[in-house]
Amino acid sequence: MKIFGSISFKIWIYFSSILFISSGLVIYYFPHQQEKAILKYRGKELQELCRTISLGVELSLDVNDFQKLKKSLSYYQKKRKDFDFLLLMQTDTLLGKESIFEQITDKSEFDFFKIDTSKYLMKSEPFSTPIMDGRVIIGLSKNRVSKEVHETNLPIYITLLVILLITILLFYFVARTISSPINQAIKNAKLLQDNHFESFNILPKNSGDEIAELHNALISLKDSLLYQKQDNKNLLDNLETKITERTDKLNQTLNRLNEAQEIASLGYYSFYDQKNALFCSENIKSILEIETGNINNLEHFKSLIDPEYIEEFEANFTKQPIVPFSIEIRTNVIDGTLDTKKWIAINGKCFTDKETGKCYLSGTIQEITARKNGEADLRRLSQAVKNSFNSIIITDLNQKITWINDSLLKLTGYSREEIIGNTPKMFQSEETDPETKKTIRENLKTFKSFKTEIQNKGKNGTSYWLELYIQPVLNEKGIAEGFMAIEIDITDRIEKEQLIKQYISEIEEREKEIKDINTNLEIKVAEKTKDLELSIEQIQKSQQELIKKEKLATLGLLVAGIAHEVNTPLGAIKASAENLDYLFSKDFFDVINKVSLTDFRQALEFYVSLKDLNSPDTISQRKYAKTIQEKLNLNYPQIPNAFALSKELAIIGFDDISNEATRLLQQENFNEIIRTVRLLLNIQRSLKTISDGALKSSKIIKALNVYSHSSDQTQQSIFKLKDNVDNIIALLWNKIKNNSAVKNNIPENIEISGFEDDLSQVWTNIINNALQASNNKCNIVFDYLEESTHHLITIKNDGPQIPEEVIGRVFDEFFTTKKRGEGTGLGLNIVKNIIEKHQGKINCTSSEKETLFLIRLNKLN
Amino acid sequence: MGFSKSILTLCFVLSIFGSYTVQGQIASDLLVIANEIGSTNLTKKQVIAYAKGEKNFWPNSKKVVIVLPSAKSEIAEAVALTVYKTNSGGMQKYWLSLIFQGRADPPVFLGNDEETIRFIEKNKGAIGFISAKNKSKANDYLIEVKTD
Repeated sequence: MKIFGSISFKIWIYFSSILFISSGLVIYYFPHQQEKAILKYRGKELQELCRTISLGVELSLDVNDFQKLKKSLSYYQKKRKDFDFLLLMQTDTLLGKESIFEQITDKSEFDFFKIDTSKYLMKSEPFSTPIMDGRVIIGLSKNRVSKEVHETNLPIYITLLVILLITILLFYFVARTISSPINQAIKNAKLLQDNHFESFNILPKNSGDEIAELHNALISLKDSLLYQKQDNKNLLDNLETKITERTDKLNQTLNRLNEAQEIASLGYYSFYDQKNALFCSENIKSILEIETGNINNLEHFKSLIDPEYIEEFEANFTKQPIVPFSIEIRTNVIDGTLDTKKWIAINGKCFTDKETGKCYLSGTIQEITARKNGEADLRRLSQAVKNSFNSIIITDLNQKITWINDSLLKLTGYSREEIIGNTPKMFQSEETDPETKKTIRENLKTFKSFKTEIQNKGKNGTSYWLELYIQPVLNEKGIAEGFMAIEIDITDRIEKEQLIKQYISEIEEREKEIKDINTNLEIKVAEKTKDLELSIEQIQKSQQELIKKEKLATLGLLVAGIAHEVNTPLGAIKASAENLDYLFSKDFFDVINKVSLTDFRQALEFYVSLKDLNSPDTISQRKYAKTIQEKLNLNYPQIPNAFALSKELAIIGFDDISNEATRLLQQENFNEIIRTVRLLLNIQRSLKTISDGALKSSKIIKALNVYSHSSDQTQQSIFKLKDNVDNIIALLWNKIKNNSAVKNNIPENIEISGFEDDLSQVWTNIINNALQASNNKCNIVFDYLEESTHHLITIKNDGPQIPEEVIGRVFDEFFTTKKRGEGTGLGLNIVKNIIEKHQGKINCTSSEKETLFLIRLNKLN
Repeated sequence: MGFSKSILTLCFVLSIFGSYTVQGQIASDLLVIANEIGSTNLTKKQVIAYAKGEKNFWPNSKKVVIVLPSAKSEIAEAVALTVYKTNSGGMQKYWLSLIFQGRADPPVFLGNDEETIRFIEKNKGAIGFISAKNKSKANDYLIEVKTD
């Protein structure tokens, strides 16, 4: 650090910095300027060369003088390495397009039209001849110029660097030479400052410059200081002797004063208002418990005073009072400097300084905390007694009243003058209990503290009750010098006690009355409950009726469909019966008469093997007959009337000439046998149609019977869930069969306990709703899932979505979205009631894709 | 058959006559003249090669000096067409290109046959073209041009 701060370093760094900056600027700008100049020069050179070659071209084409062109080109060839390319451009005068006529370049893949022209210095010169127009272009790379500049400048840079280093070194020696005498002068000045005159170094003679003058001045200063030093030493010796004597005396006096002040917890102070200078004795610091530092200004002293007393302090302290003042103030607790607040008394007066003639304040500070605390205790006690709500009486030993508080005056109505000097007996009356009076008297004699209750009388004759505490008043030696009575007015309490007794008796009477009322109320409640039960029973009956009506309404809607469903199989039965009648009345006898027994047996054999063949419909029959006839014509040309035979075979059920048909045709009397077989099959098929029709009708009638069964059933039964649903599907089949489908995936073996008829109503209403909503065009699927405690039945359909604003209300009573007269709004409400009757739950969700009813039936129902 | 034989014979005769040309004639109205080129006859291909600057020395090591008619010469177009297969402007551009590339010495362009003949007389190794009508003026320098 010393090196960096030295004069030589500063001189050296100053000049070196200038040199560095100058060199940097030169190195930075010189190559740029040089490159610019070279480019300018080369540009001119290129332009001249272009002109020469262009002229050569013009001469060549105008006057056939190719010699000039050759000469100008020979110059280019000589300096070819300085250029990058030479182009002879030809301009198409019609199209205005320019193309390369010839080019000279050392670059193998040079394409003038693709080069970055900004990287080249290019010059061109146009030429114009009757044969050809165009221009000559010569170009060279700017990088080449930069490289040349760099190569040229490298030795210059090296030389510059060497010169720079040598110059910096020279600057260093110059700086040292300049700073050396200055450093010696500084050293001498420091020696004078530290009074080391003997080490003062005289410089060798020099040329008499500013530094030499500085040195001569220092020598003169040194001589002057040496003289003054000797003179001061003599004066100091005399002065020290006198001061020592006086100081000893003063110290003795001061010690005594301090001792006295310490005993009295007293300190003294002086305050100079103009300088805001405060001097405090050690005792004051001790009183204020300041361990370190001095109280040397008014602000510091004020910070030790309780803010409540600052105003009072300033009023006396800072007004330079001529008359002595005395104030009592409390100190502050600041940053833990004082443990507790203290009381101090400040006395003071203004004095005039004899030397300066200015006024200053001087006085004492004394701690008075103990006295102030005692006064405060006494004041608080006095206030407590005076302001007590209880009456207090103090008497002397003769029971004459010496002191009373204001509460007694209020209680009795007497004035203070009337009471003082009297005895407490003045408050007693005839109503005062004699026993109580006696107790008081006895206790007063023994100077014991005691408590009692007494009835006294006021000035206006009003009686009041007191709780009385009496105790002796003792002096500092513990001897009784009187009595003190504390009287608490308990008149209210006594009166309230009497009132409470009265209330208790009244409450007992009321309780008796309430008991009587409660007995009547229970009878009334029982009557109302009975009425309510009857109402509920009626409601339930109405609900049951409602379900029945809904069911009947549904049944009414279904009747037409069911009738149709029953009518169809009945029609088939009728037709089959008529067919049988016809067969037996005509065909059967024809066959019996015409067919031999052998053929009949053969026919029977064929009948047994062919009876499972299905009878084709009329259209299929025609189709089969055609196929068979073609085959017969082809394979059995000898058979006459192939058309009739093929028709017979098609009615039997053959679709082609099968093995069985071939076997039939190979029989001797195959015509008769086929006719017999056809008759037997006709009879069998008619009987089957009758049987199927009867079964279907029976099934529908059974389903109708189950559905229309009275729903008044009170006993639950166990039944198969799948059959229960199937019955309803059968009843609704007329609506379903055309454009809808209902798939029942409930397993066969699922048995549930419940009201079978009611659950039929559930399936009916749900299927009906879906069909109505979709105009009988939807697919409904029943699924079942067994849970541990519940049967879970899902019914989903792909009908229209139930709108979101409606779905929450579908189970509400009388809620319907159908037109007036089309729906009662009870269907799904009844469904919900039935499910709840089975202790189950039903939910409905609907989306664009499907609507789903989720039914949970309790297994333990 | 007789007619075919006659045709074949005629072709043979013509082929024989075809290989023999008039002395100095490169085209119907152009003659080639040269001075001390080491030979008195050249093929048409050789003449064109020398005239196009493709060969710089004659067989006798003399440097080839090409003399061409300038644009105002009456045989300029004929020479340009015969030798350079172009017009006189194209011929000049041909030479401009060649010289620009430094591949040949420039030819000497002269305005008429007289100047051409005088130049040939004075410059050994020079070759030029004149009109057939001036044949008699340059008998000593005529070059026999054979067809290829």
